[in-house]
Amino acid sequence: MPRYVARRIGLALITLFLLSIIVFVGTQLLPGDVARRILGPFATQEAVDTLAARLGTDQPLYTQYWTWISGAATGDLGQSVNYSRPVSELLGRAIVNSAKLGVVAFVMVVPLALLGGVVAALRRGRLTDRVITVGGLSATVIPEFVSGIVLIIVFAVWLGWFPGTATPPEGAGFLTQLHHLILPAIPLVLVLFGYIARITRAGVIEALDSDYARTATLKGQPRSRVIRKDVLRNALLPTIAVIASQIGYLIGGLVVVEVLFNYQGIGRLLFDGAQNADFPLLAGGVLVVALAFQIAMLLADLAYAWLNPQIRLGE
Amino acid sequence: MSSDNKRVIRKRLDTLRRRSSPVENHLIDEYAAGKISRRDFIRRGTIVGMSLPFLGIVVAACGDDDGGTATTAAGITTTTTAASGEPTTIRAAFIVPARALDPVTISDEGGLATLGQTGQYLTWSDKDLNLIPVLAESWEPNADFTEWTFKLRQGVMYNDGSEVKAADVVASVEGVLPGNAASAAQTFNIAPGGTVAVDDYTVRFMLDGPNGSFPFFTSSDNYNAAILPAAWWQGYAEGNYEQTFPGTGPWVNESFEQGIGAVYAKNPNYWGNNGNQADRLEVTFYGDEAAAITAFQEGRIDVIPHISFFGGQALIDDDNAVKQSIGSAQHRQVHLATDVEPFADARVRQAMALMLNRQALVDGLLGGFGSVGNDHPFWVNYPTYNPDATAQREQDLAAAQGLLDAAGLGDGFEVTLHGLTEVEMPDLGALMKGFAGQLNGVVLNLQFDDAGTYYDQYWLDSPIGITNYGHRGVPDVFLGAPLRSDGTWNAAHFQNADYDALNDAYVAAPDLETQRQIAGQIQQLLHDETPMIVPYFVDFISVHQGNFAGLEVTAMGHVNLVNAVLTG
Repeated sequence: MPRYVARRIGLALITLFLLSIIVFVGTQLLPGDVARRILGPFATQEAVDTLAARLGTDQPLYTQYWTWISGAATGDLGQSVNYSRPVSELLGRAIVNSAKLGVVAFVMVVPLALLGGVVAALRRGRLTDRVITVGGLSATVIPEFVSGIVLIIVFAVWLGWFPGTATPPEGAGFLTQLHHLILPAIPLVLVLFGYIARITRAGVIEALDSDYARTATLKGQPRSRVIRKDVLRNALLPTIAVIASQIGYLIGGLVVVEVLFNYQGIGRLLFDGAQNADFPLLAGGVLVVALAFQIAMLLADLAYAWLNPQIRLGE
Repeated sequence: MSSDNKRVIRKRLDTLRRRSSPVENHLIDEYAAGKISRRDFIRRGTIVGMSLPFLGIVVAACGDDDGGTATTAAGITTTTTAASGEPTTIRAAFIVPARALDPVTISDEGGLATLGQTGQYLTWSDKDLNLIPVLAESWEPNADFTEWTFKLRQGVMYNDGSEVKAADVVASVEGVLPGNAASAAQTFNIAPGGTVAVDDYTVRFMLDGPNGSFPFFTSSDNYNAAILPAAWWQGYAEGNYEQTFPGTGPWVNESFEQGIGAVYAKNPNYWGNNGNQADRLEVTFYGDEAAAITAFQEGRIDVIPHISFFGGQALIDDDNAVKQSIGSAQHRQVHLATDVEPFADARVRQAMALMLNRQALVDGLLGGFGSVGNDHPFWVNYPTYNPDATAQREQDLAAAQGLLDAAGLGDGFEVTLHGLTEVEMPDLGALMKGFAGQLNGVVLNLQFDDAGTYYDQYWLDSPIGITNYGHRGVPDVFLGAPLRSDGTWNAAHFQNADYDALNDAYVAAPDLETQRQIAGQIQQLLHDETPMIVPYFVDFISVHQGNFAGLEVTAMGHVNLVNAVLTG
């Protein structure tokens, strides 16, 4: 197990390194001169050159990369050129906000999707199964900006049950914050439900058809016990990996929801960074999202290995 | 008004005229002779530094005293509210500032609207193009308009407790002059060192050249020119304005979160008339117009100072939302590169202008919230606009085809129209493509890009492109960089010595009549040469709830909520 863990951490670090190069090169592909974009088309060339020198964007690419990555390695992600504040400070607040939204969405979707997947598997081929499977997949393909707008119009504007913004008033308590986050979480639930439920359903069906489940049933074990002790334990293994892989999406992929619900999370911050050619903010944000994604995947792999001896013993 | 009253007023006028400068007396003569309207007299009078009470006396003495724009002691026009409600919290939706609030670098609507809640200018360029005294009480030029002397209002305090002095004005102007690190500020037409404190309450601006409209450069139109304490400028660092929000404005900042919003309290020491002012102002920043609109529909927002027709259709069609719009000089410019085929021939450029149905564009793209343009940047509400110079260009496809035939392009041509993927501009491009398709063989391929790509790659280097120009109280900016032979924004590559000479003469013209006469020549020249098509000017639209009153905006995006009240 320790060797497995060490290997996974090593792989994660290599992935992050390669990703940092991709992120850096990718942000260089943003159209237009960075200083010109920041100051606008009507600024003097003198002002643009001054800013380029101050930002270091007039330096060779490898020099810029080294400056950036060596700073990032020590936790210094630089200064946002648009907001004139440390990137780490901006990202810190935004990650907390996105994490709140992500947690609410997770708490809603995971039990629902697991339950839906298990019920669909147990009712395989029946109406319940079709409703859950087809309904879940249909919900998955609805873009967040469509479901979000519909939810806002119905539940915020018409019925007034929920606020149409995810941003609570200053100093709001836990329940008020939760109240503000439920509506924006629903589009995420709709996107994730079908996917997780389908994976769960497949795992449960495979487990139900397995020899050990059949043996347990033939030995006279009650069906509920077979499902609880033998089926679910094995069936949920692949689901854990799928759920973990969605953490990255929930942290960095919330651009549409955060813009629509006027929420200052990391998705909207990345969107702002891309729009305003704020390279330190954009690159730092993507790196942090990638780091969060790597950590989530690492934890998922470790959990998977811990639950499944075949993996850790097969190293 | 009785004859006795008129006699008294005329006597006072005679007394005042003896104390007036030649420029002011010339303007009075123009008005008395009926050469300019009352509106233009007031606008021009405010520019050359005549006070509103004095202008009122002249108007009354000339027998035209049916009232005018009311002004507060603050010098900012007031909006009369239907009923004075209990002072409370005003909730406004602003466009999210694009970057850190910094008087040196702001260049976006969200930024200037937010800065304007705490920061103020020497003068205020109102929606009717009047120049209203704010921190400056009066101003006057020298004989050749190369020097302007401003008297400051005394006793105005910053929210840090210090008093506004001439040294602050010098520091503020010097702080935003181009050449300052990372400055995006518009030029004052002043070299460093050209701003001098004569005494504590008198500032003199020594310009690089004569300029009859200079006071507009000290106004809210030049949004980087907020007057801030000299001590603050000494410790200036990019972005540190957000730490203390110094200024003389009606609001004191309580909290500010980038990208989220700001909360303000009524400034207890505000120098102006703020009897109706609410206790608090809560500003929520919106990056997306749709989010602001739903917040408004939910009732979480009292006022959205600016929405576009393009994105704000839901509210424009909503009977519960009160709409107000003001005309503006904001316009789209379609440049035609005068040194590149097929537009090197002026007849081809004229044909492009003649193919447009401008009223249909205003109705279709702007929902009627705009006015047609006539291929020069003189908006019809500018006092210097010359209505007699050129007839309005109407759609005339036969004439357009005839011009193309005469230019040897009767079989048409194919060219790529570039533009910005902002508001209705891609739709304008699509409609232009449709209009062009009615001419024989003329094909416009469309390529619209984000601002970074467009301005970096195509703006100054494309045969034809659509660019957005924001509102200005005077057209000087539009007439300079985009059209002069040495202009840095000259996308049409327009090289015309006659135009340059006319532009010089226009800027230096001492009186309105001369300026209008030169404007007429410029209009005619641009009409003939057609280096640009100005299809329309775009109105500035605001919305508010039915129980809200007292919004004042400018077409640049400034928002004055000092008189905002909630009723009922």
